[in-house]
Amino acid sequence: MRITMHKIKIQMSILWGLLTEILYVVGLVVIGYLICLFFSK
Amino acid sequence: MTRTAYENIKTIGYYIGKIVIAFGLLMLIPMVTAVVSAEWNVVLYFLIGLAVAVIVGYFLIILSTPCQKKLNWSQGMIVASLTWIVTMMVGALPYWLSGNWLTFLDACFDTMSGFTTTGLTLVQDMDHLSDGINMWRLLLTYLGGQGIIVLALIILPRTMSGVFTLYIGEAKDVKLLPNVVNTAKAIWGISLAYLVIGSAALMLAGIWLGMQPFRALLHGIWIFMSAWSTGGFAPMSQSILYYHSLLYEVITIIIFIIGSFNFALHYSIWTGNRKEIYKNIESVSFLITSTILIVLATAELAKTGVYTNAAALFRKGYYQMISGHTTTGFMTIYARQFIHEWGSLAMIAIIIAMLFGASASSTAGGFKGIRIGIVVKSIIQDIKRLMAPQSAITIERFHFIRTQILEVDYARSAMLIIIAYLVLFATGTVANVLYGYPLLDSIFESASVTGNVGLSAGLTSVSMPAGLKILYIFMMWIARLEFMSVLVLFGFILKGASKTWQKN
Repeated sequence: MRITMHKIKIQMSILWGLLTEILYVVGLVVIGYLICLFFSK
Repeated sequence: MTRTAYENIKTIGYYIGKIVIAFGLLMLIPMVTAVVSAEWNVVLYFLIGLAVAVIVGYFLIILSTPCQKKLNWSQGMIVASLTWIVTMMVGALPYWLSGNWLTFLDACFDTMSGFTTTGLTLVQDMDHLSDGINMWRLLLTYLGGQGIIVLALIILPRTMSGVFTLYIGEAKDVKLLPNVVNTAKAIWGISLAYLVIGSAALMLAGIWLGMQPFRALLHGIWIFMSAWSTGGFAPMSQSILYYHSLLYEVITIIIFIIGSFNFALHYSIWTGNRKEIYKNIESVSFLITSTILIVLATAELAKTGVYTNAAALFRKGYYQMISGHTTTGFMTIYARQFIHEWGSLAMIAIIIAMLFGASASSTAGGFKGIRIGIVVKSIIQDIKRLMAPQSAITIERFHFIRTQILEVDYARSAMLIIIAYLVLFATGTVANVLYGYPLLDSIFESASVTGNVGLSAGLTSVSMPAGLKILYIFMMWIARLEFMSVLVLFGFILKGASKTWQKN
């Protein structure tokens, strides 16, 4: 039971890690688009 | 030859032999792809390649046995650097046999370009390559991104001893876990997890664009492997422009930015330290340099009126800037458009972006964010020191996984590597000019090769002189391994040559 909980915790941590990285990069891309929007005529 | 030198060569030969066999076995993957696509000639090319790899590896092991199995520091460095040359030659065989590369040198160029995740290519008729050959091209990029030796540490963990120097020799200097083999497994675990997610996303995008499911799957896997490894190879000659899809472009940007992160950063975030992404010197450095350079480039591109609306600026200007900064090399414009359409400021911005590169111990090339960050911090420290009273002690800190005090050795080491990259960049530029190419083209192409980027102004082609092809192979190799292991190899050769000279 304890081992299963430990595995679930690790998997949740990896999942949150993946989401954090993807959201961070999506944020960077949005900043990039806003820069393009700012300079476009 | 002295007994010590002979023993050294035997140990080096033994390890290279093992790695070459492991590398040869990877040809089974494109072979299976060729079987599925009923490309029987291609199956034969890979069978020959596999046979040569096993024979060469086996002979190296036989000739080197018995030998001292534990690698010392210099032996490890030499194995790391020489492995890339030997595997380049073995890996080029299927290319050469396929007839899509004019000469064996061209095939070697593309193999090294793939390994080093550069992405410059000399292939003929790329749009009609077989699936098996395409799988090999993109697989080589994927392997090179993670590191050939990092893979060998997983395949042959029990038979290799003193392997930490091999790992360091391949310019991977972070230990995610106390054991280097477990570190290699963690690196591949991260890459394979993203392979599943990224390929699925690209496959769905491909189906949505109207591709057949099998073709969408292949393109999804290939483009993922190239994007994640910040490689730049694509199955079609128009690179990402071929897909004419904003969705495909956004997915690839996300993949290659994440691929350009340090593996230590991935590991730290995945194990619960999620705030690391906002504090890490490399992610902060990338955020600052990319924002400044993108502002410069987009302002210039908008001013010159090349791309008139935000969508065009984003898909052509921003995409190319990020592709250059992460050292990926995917293109959404044609090569000559850089020279003819991008203004001076935008060209300067992209050349600087290519040279800066992304993170250390990642799949990317260039100076690396940690070195840029450390040099900037040390300049700030010096300014503070000049402004403070003489008795004051100024301490600068930086955050990389943990907060560390900036020591003089860190700054000196970062500066040395940056200077080495600049010397390489200058050498490439001068060589291009000497061969008769225009200065701007020469600077652009040299920055691309030095940073292992793969963007091209059109200079890299089958018709370029053989001397330049060899120089580019050398530049891609030494830049990817970050100089150290290649310099140790040269030192070893020169030492042996000077001893032989003295004897005679």
